[in-house]
Amino acid sequence: MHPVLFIAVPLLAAFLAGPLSQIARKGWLPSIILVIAAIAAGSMLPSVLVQPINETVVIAAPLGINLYAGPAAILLILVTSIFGILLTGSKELRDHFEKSTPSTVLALLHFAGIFGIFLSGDLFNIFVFLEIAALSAYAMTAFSDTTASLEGAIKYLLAGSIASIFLLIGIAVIYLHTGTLNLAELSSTMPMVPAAAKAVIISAILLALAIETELFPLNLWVPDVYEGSGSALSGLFSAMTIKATLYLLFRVITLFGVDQSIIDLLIGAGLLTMIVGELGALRQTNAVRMLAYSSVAQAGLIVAGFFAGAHSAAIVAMIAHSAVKAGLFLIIALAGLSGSVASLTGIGLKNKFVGVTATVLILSLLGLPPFIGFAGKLLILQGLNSSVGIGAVILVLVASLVEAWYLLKLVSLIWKTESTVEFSFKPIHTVILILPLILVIAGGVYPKAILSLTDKVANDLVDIQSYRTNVLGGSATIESTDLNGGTQ
Amino acid sequence: MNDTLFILTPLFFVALGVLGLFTPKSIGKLFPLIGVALAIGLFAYTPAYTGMISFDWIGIPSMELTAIISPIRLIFFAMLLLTLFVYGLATLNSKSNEEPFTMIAAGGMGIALFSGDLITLFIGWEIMTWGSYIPLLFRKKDHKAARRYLVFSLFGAATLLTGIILIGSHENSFLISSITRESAALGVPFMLIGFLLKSGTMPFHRWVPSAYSESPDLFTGFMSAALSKAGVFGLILAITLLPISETLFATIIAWLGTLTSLFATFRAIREEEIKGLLTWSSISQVGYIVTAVALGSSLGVAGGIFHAVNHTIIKILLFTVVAGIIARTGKTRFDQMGGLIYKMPFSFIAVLMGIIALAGMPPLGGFASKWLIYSALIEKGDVLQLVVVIAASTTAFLYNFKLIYGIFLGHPTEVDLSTAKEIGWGYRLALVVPLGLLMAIGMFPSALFTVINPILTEIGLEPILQGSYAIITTSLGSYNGLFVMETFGGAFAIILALFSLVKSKSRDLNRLDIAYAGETPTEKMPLHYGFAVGREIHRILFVGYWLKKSTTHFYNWVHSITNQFASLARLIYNGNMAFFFGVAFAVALLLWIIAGGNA
Repeated sequence: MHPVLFIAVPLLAAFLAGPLSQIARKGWLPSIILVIAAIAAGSMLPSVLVQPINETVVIAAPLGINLYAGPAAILLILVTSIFGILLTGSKELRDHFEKSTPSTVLALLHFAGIFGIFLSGDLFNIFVFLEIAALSAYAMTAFSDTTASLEGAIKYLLAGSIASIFLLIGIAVIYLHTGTLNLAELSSTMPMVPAAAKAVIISAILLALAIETELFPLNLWVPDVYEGSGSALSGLFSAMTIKATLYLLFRVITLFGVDQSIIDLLIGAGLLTMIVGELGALRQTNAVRMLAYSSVAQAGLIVAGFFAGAHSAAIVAMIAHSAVKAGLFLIIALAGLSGSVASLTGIGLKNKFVGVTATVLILSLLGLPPFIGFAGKLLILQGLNSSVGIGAVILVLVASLVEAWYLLKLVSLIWKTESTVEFSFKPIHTVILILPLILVIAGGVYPKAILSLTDKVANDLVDIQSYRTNVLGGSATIESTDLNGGTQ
Repeated sequence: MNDTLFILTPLFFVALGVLGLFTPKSIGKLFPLIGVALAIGLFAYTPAYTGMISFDWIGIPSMELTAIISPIRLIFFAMLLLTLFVYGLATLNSKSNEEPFTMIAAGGMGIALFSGDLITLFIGWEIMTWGSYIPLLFRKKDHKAARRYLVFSLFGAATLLTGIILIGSHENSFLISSITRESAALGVPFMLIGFLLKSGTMPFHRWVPSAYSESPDLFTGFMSAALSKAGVFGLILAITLLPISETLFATIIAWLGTLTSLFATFRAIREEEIKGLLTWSSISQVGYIVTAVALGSSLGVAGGIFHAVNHTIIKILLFTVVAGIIARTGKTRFDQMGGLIYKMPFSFIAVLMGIIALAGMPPLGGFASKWLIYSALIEKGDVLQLVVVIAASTTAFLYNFKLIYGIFLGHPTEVDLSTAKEIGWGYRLALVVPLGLLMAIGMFPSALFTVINPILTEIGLEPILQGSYAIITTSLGSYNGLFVMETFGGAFAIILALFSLVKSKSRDLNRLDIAYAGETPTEKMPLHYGFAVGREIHRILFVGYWLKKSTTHFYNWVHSITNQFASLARLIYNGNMAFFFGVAFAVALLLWIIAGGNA
């Protein structure tokens, strides 16, 4: 199976959105594409775990375009597609898709961009796909056509443009000094870049990625964007988009082999993001905005955990976060468009399944056993303890107390008896919540099953040597060690 | 394989709880009893006093989950089973629907008790915590109570986890058996905060009153009788890991327990809610246990465990009676009750036995454990502490009396005696076991040492050898429970006989029979015991001063500080894109410098 199809199929579907929407009626087209992607990723995963696929488009790796389908990329495509379906299949988004073909096109372009980010093996393609994903995201933010959503779209556009500019600067300087943009090639040529240029490269690319991964203080735009784009779309961003940019951050930073000071900075920024995010969420009355801050905080924890050495745990946390946020945002979307915290009052008593799911997802988000959040958090804390110290552990735990205070407010509201809001859930709309629920419970009771996967994924992200071998072929290993030897 | 089945009982409890979520209410109500029967059945099938089972949970060898059985785990599990049994019987007769969560909480506590490593301990601990959080959600009066309970518990869990990670990273193993003194010295102080919080020791007791008053009435009994013992278990574990008896640390904890017992007693006397009184009484009793265990001596730990057993029996008894009375009358305060002895003689006797034991008076079981605790304090030479404990214990008579008088005696106020009925059959049936146990422990106090001595040996202390079941012996002396019981019983029978013989025809008093400063009280004047008693306790010099002190202010301060930080965060997230651009360029510069840009 060709990895390029992950990008080609959504793109093709986007071009043919008009006629295809006649076949896949009622706005189901993006969901169908995600189902196809999930099935394809699922069927590829076992073979990719053994031998990653490196696909050359046009000409061979150093010069041409290559797509690298390693365990990390395929697993994350699988996870993000599955939890993306929850939201693209929601009534709120399907209404948009049904009303206008352009919105279907935008969603499909967004998927193509995200899958492209996961698969691309060279920086310029990554830039292109990031732009595709981001541009479509800006436009999607404006779906609901309200003042808030237009404001969000503009802010997203401005922030995203800054990121693009800096990324492009970084890429230009890299190309100037190394003559290549292939990531595998760069991993061995980066040490030869002069220190002054390297500083520009690292700072520019890190800035761009920090904006995209919503690290503090470069995430000031995030709450407005989430609030403006509405619950279902926020869920999509939380479950899919930020996972792609996190992957990108991990991949690029590991391959570049940055100094320990930058790693420390990233850990610190991650922890700071978490604290500020939780504090920001504490007094929110808008559920979407509250969960947006919470997503920011979780992304911070994942970044801190990954760079503190808990690679596998960070991937588990990414998967867990996708599941939890997809489920929670879907529940808010089901409860009504207003998104205020009060609109959740009493939904647990209206529909027990939704109430139980929301409660379980929130408990998992808080890192309580026996749910998957606990396994991820425990391992991240261990990593932080061994690389930073017990202070970081205490910081994370204090942040999760703040988190508990506002998330439990949601739980209290969900089970409140005097309900003011009138709504009814159709079982057909809620049944899909079983997906995150199963993952959260099964993954929490027996995390070994997930960890055995994520261990390989983490290894794929960290093991630069085998990445080079897989992309450039067997000879590259020797060549690169020579290069390293030459510079030292 | 058979002998490992019993270790898995807590998992069956959790499974029953999850199953209970999907079964009709009437079937779910049977699950606590089914769980108890299952546990006893499995234990009877293969009596296991030791055993171990591990499970590779996360794929990391040092983090394998391990469950073990040992005497100390068994006795705490027995307390859990007893509570669950009484609760299970009583709940058949109630309208509550929290049984599935009770089973989950019980399972969690079981997992924590049977844990052979710290991760299992933590997992069980947290399942217990959130399992007991959910029943609190369904009550309306104080909508923050449930959240406060869970956030406080999570704070305890956070310190516990900090300790666990410190120990785990130092030892590279989480097995309890492999913990050394050095790593214990690192981690156990953190863990202790978690344990003290769960047992409701001051100053970590803030969550207890609201959580107990907001929980369903029968479930409160379960929380007080069973869940608070998880904290005690943890405390015993902690002193096993880190023999703290010689350090200043132990003194601090012992004093925390002592002061808890004193101040909670004051607070209990002032209480107007029946469940509130029992709550503060529970806090105070756990204070004795903490004091005793923190002494770290054989006698102290034995006294602590003995008192824990007694406290379980007494509190499940009293909370169940009170739940039955509240269910029958619909009233929750002392000043709404009165005169119920005519309609609820069985409850009266149950509460009477309960408070005799609670006050630590002979001939019932409560005396033996208090006596052990006093002996331990004397043996240790902590006279000041002994004085405070005895003061607390004596002052406790006041609230004990209020409990029985306020509910059963005097003139009824808001309760309609003509329609009031004895508490439900389920409640009555449930009470037989704790009542019988109180009598049995009273008569054969040292029988419990057949269980306590193996525990003392297990945690590395000298066992306290006993001759016969009736006579309890320590280094300071001995007393014969059976003899005391016979004497009391005899005296009671004689006095009752004399009273029945001499008694003339009695007449009930009414309002007009009372002369009050030359006048008869008006209709509006409250005469019932529950109205005034204890209200004026703040006028006593020392007591009043300390009653005004509260940890509430501190927690409110924490709350407001956090809120201010939250406002600060919102100040940064002002949605101004020009500000964002400024920040972005500043960060770019910073990154450039850190990446070595000026080189």
